[in-house]
Amino acid sequence: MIALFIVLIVVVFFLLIEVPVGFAFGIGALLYGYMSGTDISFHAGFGYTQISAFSLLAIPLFILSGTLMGASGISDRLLNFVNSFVGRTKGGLGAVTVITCAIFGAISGSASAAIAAIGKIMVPRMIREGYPPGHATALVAVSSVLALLIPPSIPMIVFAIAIRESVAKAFLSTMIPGILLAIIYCGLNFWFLRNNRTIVVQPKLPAQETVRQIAITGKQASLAILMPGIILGGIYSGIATPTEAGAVALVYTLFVGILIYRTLSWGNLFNSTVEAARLTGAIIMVLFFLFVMSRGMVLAKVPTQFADFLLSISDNRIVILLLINLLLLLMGMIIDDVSGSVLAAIILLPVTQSIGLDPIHFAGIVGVNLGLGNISPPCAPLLYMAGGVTKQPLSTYIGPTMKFLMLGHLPMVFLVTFIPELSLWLPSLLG
Amino acid sequence: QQAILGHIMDSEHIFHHVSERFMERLDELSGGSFAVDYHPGGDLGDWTSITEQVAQGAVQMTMTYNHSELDPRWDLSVLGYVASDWDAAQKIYGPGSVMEGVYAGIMNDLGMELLGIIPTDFAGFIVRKGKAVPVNFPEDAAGMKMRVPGMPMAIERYNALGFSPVPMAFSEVHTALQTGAIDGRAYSPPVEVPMFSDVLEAYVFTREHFEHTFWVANKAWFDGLTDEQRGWLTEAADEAVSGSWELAQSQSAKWLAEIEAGGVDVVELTPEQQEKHRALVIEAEYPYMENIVGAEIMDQIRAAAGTN
Amino acid sequence: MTKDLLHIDSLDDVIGTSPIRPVPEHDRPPSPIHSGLGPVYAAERGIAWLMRVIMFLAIISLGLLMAAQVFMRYVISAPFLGIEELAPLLAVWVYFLGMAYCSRERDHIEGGMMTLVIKNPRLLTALRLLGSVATLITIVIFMRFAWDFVAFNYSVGRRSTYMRLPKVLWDVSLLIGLALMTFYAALQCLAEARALFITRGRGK
Ligand code: NA
Ligand code: NA
Repeated sequence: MIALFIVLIVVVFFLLIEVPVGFAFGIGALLYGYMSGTDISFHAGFGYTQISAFSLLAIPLFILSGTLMGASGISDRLLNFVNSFVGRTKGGLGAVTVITCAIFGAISGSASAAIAAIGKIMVPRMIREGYPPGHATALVAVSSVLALLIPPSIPMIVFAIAIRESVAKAFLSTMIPGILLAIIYCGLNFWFLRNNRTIVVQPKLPAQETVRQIAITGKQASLAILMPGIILGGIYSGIATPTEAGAVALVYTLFVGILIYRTLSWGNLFNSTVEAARLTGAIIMVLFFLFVMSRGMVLAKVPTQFADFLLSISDNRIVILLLINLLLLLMGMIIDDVSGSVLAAIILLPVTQSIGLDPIHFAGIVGVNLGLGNISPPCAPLLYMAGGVTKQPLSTYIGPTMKFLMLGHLPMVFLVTFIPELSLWLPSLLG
Repeated sequence: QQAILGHIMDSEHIFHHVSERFMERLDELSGGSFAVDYHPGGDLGDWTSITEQVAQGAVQMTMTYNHSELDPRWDLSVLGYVASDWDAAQKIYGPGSVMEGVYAGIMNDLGMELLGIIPTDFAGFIVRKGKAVPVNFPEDAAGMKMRVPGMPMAIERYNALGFSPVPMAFSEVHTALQTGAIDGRAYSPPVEVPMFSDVLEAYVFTREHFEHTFWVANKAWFDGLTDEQRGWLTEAADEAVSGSWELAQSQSAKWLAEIEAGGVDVVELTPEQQEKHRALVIEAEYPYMENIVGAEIMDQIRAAAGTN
Repeated sequence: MTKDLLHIDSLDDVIGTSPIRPVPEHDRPPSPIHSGLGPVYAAERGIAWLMRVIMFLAIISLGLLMAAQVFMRYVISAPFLGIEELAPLLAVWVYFLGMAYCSRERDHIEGGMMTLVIKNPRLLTALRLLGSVATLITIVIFMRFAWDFVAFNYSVGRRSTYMRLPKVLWDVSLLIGLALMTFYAALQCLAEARALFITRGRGK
């Protein structure tokens, strides 16, 4: 345990000096092998075997389809459609951002795609109409997490594989929390802006005209709106496995982008595809070294020792659940969601088993917590990405972000922890 | 001396019972000087990965299945209709059998020492909820999507039986049964049925092959032990393995009862149905296997199986 | 020491607070950090182009293959049997070339917020160099064990179960990926070391 503690400090040190997450864990794994005297000779082979798993194929497929959706303008059409409903009320554009992120989440597995696709369009538009820039950026950052909570979701794929549970069930475990959170963020958005005087609201259209706008933008977006049906319908009706659904989504995007919308040019397609491959590499590299690190910990029996330690603090279920949440929160602060999923699975699974926690409920807790971790500093990739896309300094949006998190996401973490039905009800319908 | 023993099964599985017996006896024999670092439950990776770790010496011992990527001769272990009942199975695969020698040679070529053959059970296939249960082959199987392990021989067999064989990763099987992406899973011994109970209509217990598994050690490590240590190890392993036949047979009955208690029908073929099934399997598999292992071994198997 | 650091603040054109990349960006004038290695960088541009092409072909084929599988299984009830082997083959090439490409672009997932706390470019560069050296050593060690792993598979003549293709086709992706990452990590160390050296020279 002391060796692990030292290694943890070393890993955090390297994380802080901007060593890529994967390499920091690689360094940690070697050091840990050395200190604990366990085998490291198979580390490379082990990481390689783990990432070659067939079920991980969903990751490149969902990343590629998400990237191409952005490149083919599918997200713009979704935005216009949602905008035709609530765009012309005070704070309406904010709600449009949240809702579009949620819908985009149902077709994309990654939150960064949501920021790139929606943030780039919505934040300038909101600022132009007088929204405080910090509020606009924060809203995009916190809503992008909805893309992780609403299936498909890459961290959930990884987590399900790590705990050897059904990917389809793990997907559903964060769906209701995701939808609830979308509603809460819409509400908070209106509430935070209630005394705002800078926002210029476009005049309301007559009811007839609004209906006409909805019809027009709806028609333009119809192929995009069909997409969640194709992906989730494909999975839950048995046409495709979650892995294959990623491929179906990709082919559909290619079809729509190249032949119908004609927005995917050859160069556009090549560049976006290479970009997706690169992003895939970035995520898989983290997984590679995490699997390696986890093998080191398993060889030294860390997970069982850790479970014993937690259970020695208390055997009260509520206390243990709170401790688990605290740990996930800390984990989320220092690392990204994909790493967090694997680590949580490996370190915490024995504890959750001994208190009899349903693995799918555990999936829900992990998903909601790590979604939060993605936007909670210091390691907050989504938060910085939002600032990067919208060209705002951290100081303008860190405050509003914290308000959204404290009043929205954090309470959701506790709801999901203590109301198992939020994560278990939908998967239970699968039989 | 310290060695890692890892496998993928939980504490209900015969691997665990054999392991416990082995560790207890080894501890007695060595007076505690030979310690086993025990990793059940697959925390060291899936079974193919643990097998590779043993072959390469990163882990010392495991209990494993036929890893045909490493050596296709290994598929002998799932050849259909070699043993007709438990007694025959023990004669063909048990301690001192011809097959034990054949397997020991294969393992040696891969840098591993065979410590023993552990029987699991006869195998059948499962059928998902809401699907008619096929019992006449090939006619009933038409259009049924049956998940098979990705081995050519498995695909040959299930094609011959009239199914549409679908290779699919094990991790996707449960969801795929649930949603209907596949209609069943082949190569299922009773012990691997209850984990799918919630999505199953029936278990067809064809006994189409006798699933047996391999307890292997890294050869370099094994050879590097002192004579005394090697003596303790083999004695403890032999005792644990010879006890495993009776244990496996009694567990089989227990698992079948559990399958029925889980609301899944256990279906047995009538003698006529069984004979048709058997003929199809043998016709598809034996020539294929002979290509890989040669006529000499196949003649021994035919003699043992009475399929001359 | 403080004086030294103060001087360095005026050298933003050579070394700033943003990270240095292992290879010069194509459309920018080469900085002194990358000077003198022209042929290496030219060769590297060729390698990078090849990586992009392979990644493009592999990931698109992966998608089309998997979609074809859904169609074949669901619509014509005749699944393509080699898919469990071919799909991961394409994927591992995407994974390892993608990783190496991230090393090239310095685009890995990283967690640091060092620049929010440390404003001194030389200290930043020194710390990043420390990280890069540790990274380089780590990759080299992994490369060594990866070699053993692949050599074992090769020595037993390992072939995929269904299509009986040599596993080397899969395994080499691991070696090439790690080799490319080693290459870029070395260039990264070199660039950062030179940046540190250049600022010291000019600071005095
Ligand atoms: Na999603
Ligand atoms: Na974080």
